[in-house]
Amino acid sequence: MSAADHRARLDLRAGAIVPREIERTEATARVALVAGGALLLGGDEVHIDVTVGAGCTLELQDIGGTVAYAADGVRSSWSVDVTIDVGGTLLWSGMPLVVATGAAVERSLRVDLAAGARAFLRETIVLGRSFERGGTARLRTDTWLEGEPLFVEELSVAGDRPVPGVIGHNRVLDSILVLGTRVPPPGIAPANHFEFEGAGCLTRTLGRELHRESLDVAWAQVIASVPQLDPV
Amino acid sequence: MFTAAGRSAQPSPATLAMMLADARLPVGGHVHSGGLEPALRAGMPVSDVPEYLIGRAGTTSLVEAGTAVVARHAVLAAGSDSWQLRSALADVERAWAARTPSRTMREVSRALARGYVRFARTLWAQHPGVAECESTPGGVARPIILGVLAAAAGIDAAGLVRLVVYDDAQSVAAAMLKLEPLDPAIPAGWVLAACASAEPSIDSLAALTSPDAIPASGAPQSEEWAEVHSRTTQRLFRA
Repeated sequence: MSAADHRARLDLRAGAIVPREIERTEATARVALVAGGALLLGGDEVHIDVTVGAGCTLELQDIGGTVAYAADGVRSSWSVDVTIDVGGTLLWSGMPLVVATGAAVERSLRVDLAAGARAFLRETIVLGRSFERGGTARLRTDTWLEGEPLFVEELSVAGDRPVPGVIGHNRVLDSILVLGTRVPPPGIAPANHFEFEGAGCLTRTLGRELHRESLDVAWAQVIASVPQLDPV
Repeated sequence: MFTAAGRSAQPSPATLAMMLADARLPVGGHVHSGGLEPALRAGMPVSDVPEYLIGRAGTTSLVEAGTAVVARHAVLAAGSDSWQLRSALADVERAWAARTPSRTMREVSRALARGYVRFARTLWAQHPGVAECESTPGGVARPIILGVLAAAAGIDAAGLVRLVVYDDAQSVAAAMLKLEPLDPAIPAGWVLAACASAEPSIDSLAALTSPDAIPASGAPQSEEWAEVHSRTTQRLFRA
């Protein structure tokens, strides 16, 4: 998206994920992301590009979570490339990605921020549907602020091979990633809040069961801290 | 240094590698348990320790080893060009920091590095890499000074990777004997198993030259345990 005189210019292109405009003003827009069909099956490759123009604020809302279905270990990929120009802001209210037993997911997130740009990203990864241990996931995150690496991480997790220290026997990684600024969410134990060396922070909880409530409250506070957006 | 009356003799890089891996070297490593005390305090069962060691050898140790290898390369590539050296080591430090989301872990690493820098400045006072680490405001990360020391001491990249992986595993094993005493031969076996598990990665790690290519394998549970531990007062080990 980019700013325009009366209403921001939105260039929405549908693929496996269909973006739908909810509302927009001169420099803000709210867009829903809807799955165009059954996702993710073995061999699926979903790619999402997001570009936020200078000074704009874009809010993305996932409509429903995603299940990576059993695929006998055939890989599926979900990659997101985000570019945010000077002073732009992205908020993304992500819904859970559930990695069923037998699924092998490669999740890649790349966020490139210019000076003064900010990103607020909610993500929940769940290993296994109910009563499952879950498949395998490789979660790669690369973020840059003004060309310098800000937070880089690769997590390899497998429901049938819990590694103590990585996520152990936990099945749920729930997180709020903040880039370009720091927002300490209230009500979160200090040990679950990680301040990067650069301008950014990660709030992350590990759990055996999916209880998004604690971070839902924190996420609402984070969104409330971004002044350009009115509450829905 | 290393010059006795009328003749010059250099110690073998293998000797220097042994010295760097030796817990008797006064660099302060004894205050660290490789995350073991935080893990056990958080409820990780003792029976998980061998898997925990292998997990570290496949995650945090790879970040550490990759950082050290790229720092070593930066020192060797810069030669006597001090501007290039400063810029290259800063890039490596930044890449490492971006891969270390826990502030506690960054602080612990830099505190450990200070011990190595003190050691290095006595033995390799003239080395540009050592001088650069000493003058870096806020200090450097432990793998940076290890990479610099490897460059100064002539330790090759594969040897440096093994040193980093071994040292991390041995820190856990030594701490284990203090936290949950057992037959000392048993954790020694865990150390060897953890080192063996890293062998398939050694060549690719040793070939790294770019900060962007440093592994970024995270360990969220250990990171959380480290943050909890840093806020407790009754502890044997700092981390």
